[in-house]
Amino acid sequence: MVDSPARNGGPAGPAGGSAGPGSAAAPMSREPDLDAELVSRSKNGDLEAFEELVRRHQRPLFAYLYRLAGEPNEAEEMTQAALVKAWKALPGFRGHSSFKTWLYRIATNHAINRVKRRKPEVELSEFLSAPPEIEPDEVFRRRQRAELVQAALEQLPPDQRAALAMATWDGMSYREIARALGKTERAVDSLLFRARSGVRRLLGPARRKGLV
Amino acid sequence: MECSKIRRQLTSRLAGKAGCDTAGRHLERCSACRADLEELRADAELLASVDAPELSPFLLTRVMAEVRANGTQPELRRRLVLGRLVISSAAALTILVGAWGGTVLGGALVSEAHKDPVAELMSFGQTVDDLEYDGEEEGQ
Repeated sequence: MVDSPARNGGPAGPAGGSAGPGSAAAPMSREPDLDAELVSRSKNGDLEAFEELVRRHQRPLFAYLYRLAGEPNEAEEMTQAALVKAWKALPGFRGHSSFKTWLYRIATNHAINRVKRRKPEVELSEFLSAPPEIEPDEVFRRRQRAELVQAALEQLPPDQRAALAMATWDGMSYREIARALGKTERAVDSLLFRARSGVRRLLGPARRKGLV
Repeated sequence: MECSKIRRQLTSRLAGKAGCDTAGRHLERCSACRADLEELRADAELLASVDAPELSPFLLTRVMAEVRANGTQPELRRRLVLGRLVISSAAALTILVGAWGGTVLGGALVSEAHKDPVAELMSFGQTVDDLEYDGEEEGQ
């Protein structure tokens, strides 16, 4: 079996190895040859090779789907569905894009349809109206910040959310995001502009209150 | 260039795309647009600092169990079936060609064996009379 740094799907930086916006992609992306080799073996039905691919991609894919779905159990369900779909469709994968981009496209198509049908469960205002802690410890602060960010994300339309998640946490380029979403790079630019403006507007009150 | 146009380009600038020189010069001059860019950068950093929850350690097992239950990928299965079909067709064709070739060759050999010996001799320039003459001489 092939060894890899992303083995066992352990956490890697902010959601899968991204160092932040516009940064280099996750560690797995630095090893496209290994991905290509594993894909080539998996295409011929090699289950061990596919298992290794799952190990390498499950964590960032789950984190991405969590940003889209906003709920860990649902994100996990979506991750499983996307990976199984990828297995079934793998012999038809021609390698025009990286495996990661292709996998994200499968996952996005599956997830966006589900996410579109429902309204956000938690309103951002609920967080803002909560009584402030007198001296919140770091853990509380971090959790509160995460909840605020997730609540803000859930207010965005799914395609904006998807583009923003790929750019922010997966360090994907405009080109990769465009391929994953089936859009042009120009459209991705527009989506990101609207998404970032939306986040700024949504997090503005929390920022003024010093919550983020 | 107007601030609104510049602000439109700030997202790509944030993603590391340099943008045009005009935008760069504008940012040097315009403090409002610079503040805008800084705010976008702060938001991006805030987003990036937030981790997703931990992934269940059993996801891999569940995915692989479902994959194993599904068996061979449909596309690969189609290819295997197609491959087998091509091999069987090629084998059948080989047998047919062999049978046809055998029939043709066999027919040629049979017709060779049943050829009229007289006609064959005549083709060598001999006549029946020559044969008879030779026989008489032997008899004497």
